Amino acid sequence: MTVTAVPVQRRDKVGWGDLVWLTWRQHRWSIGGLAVLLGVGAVVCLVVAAVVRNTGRVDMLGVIGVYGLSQLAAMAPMGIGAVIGVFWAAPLVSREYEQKTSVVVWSQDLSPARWTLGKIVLLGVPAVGLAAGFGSSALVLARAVNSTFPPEWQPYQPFQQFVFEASPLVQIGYAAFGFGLGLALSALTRRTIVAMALTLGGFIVARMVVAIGWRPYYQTPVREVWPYGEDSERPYGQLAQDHGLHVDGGYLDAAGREVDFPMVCARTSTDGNSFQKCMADHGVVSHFTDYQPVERAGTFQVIEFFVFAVPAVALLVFAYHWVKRSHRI
Amino acid sequence: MTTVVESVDTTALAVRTQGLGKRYRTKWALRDCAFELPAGRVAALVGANGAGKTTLMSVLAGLLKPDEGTAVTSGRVAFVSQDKPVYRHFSAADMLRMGARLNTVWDQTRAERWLERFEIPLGKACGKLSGGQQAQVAFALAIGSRPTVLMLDEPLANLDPLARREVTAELLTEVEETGMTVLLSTHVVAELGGVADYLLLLAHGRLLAGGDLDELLARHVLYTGPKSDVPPALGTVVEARHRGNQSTFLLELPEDQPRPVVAGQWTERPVTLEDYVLAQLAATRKGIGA
Repeated sequence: MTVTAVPVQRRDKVGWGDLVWLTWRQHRWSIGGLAVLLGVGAVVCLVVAAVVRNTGRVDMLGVIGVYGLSQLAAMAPMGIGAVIGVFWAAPLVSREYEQKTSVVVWSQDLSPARWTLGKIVLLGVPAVGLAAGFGSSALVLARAVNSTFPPEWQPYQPFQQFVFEASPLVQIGYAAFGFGLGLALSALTRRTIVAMALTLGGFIVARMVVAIGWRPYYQTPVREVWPYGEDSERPYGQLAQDHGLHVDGGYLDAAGREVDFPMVCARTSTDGNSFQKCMADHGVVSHFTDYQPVERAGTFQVIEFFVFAVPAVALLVFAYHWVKRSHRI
Repeated sequence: MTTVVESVDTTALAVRTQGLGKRYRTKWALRDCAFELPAGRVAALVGANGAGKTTLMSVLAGLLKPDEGTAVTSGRVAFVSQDKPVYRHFSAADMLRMGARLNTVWDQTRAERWLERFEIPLGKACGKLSGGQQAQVAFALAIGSRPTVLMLDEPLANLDPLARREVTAELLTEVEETGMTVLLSTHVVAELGGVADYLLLLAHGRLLAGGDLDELLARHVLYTGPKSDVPPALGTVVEARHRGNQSTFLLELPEDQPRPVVAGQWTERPVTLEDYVLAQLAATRKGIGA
């Protein structure tokens, strides 16, 4: 080994290029791994979509088939935010604490605040980029599959969960939220495994609560009412053909109040007529269906984005200040 | 109370603290700590386990915020913590590359020379190096950043005896060549022989004694003689031990007075660093002078 004399290097400050070097050197496997996985997936989606559009055929790809592939592709975006939160963000600060390397990296000419900001930008931007990119490719394939069906039978509809959530804007919200949640828990717990577990749990709970309990009510649902009676049933599947988001349904009395389904009618009725009479006796006058019209899907995606992006920003700001505050003067 | 960390403008001082305090919840790890460390010294920070050595260094390195008082260091500070942490997936060369990237001043030649001196393979992942080798990588990173104050927490802890001697020798060479100030902590006093020329003695989060080592030791003397309740000369008793028919006194002699001459059955011998430190620590444990 020979040591050649290199002059002492002097600069004004540690720049972004140096942070890029550090971030890539530390996280190249997790960044590269997810990027390759999603990149290959996206390319496959786009190629298959192009073939489907040009040939109009979906009877390819053997057992899985184009439809199966498109379903897989549409489901994948559900997990991207969680993967980013659990594997990219949750170990970010805690692993430095656990291996005591925080002492090393923060005692160079780099403040913890600058380090944290660097990691947020240099990992956060690729994270939302990958999520948005893959979501768009999955949607391209879904639309290509749709194009082979007549409009009323198209399998992918705007309010369908996979399709709704694969939208790039929504994906950016999820990825940012996952990243922010992971980073905040990482800084707070300083334990990688704990942070990863809590991030996974927290992300799933947040997504479920929003998807089930909140999303249907972003705007006041439209209520459709029609009389209850033998021949006045709304044709089955009509709502499904409207492709709106079903929120609620049931029975109304003459005053328009919601009535619980009279269970006694189901038990005691012997035929259709007696059943309808029983229902009428219990005050049932009409059906109703509450739903979100399909035209609202775009607005809902914007709302969903903000529902996740706003907490994401709050979590990132918290993590930044938490790391900054607990160290350095 | 305001806490200020700024750079010392005079070149004569490397570190100055005033009323420095740091507490973890309600327990003070460091309290009312005041000292001045002249530039260019190799100072030993000595104290029992839990005396506050690591806390003091972390505060001086800017990694912990003091709760009271001020700590002032001149110029660039490099700190190697007790665990000598390195990135396990980085090679030694990567660690130096990181040093070059994350420091405004970087001396690649000096850092490489250190690794070469201790025969550390440059290409191997740090996680696969021995604990001693990892420590050398951590030292090389600190040396390469050309600090004006280099702080090493228990630097020799996981080195073999030969490496200890070599590391201290190399450190002294670096001090000579660059004029940097070194502050190293240890609870093994014997390690410091011939290395440190300045002493900072911590006990229970407070500074017990500090100053130039030669002056400090010259002011103290050890008397051994027949059993007695009083020492054979004037001075402050740092430690008195009585065993059988024999008494031993470690005395701090009054300042600006000639060294007393004792005769008869009393024998006098110079105080070593170890005598002094152990006597001081024992005294704080017994509560004398506290």
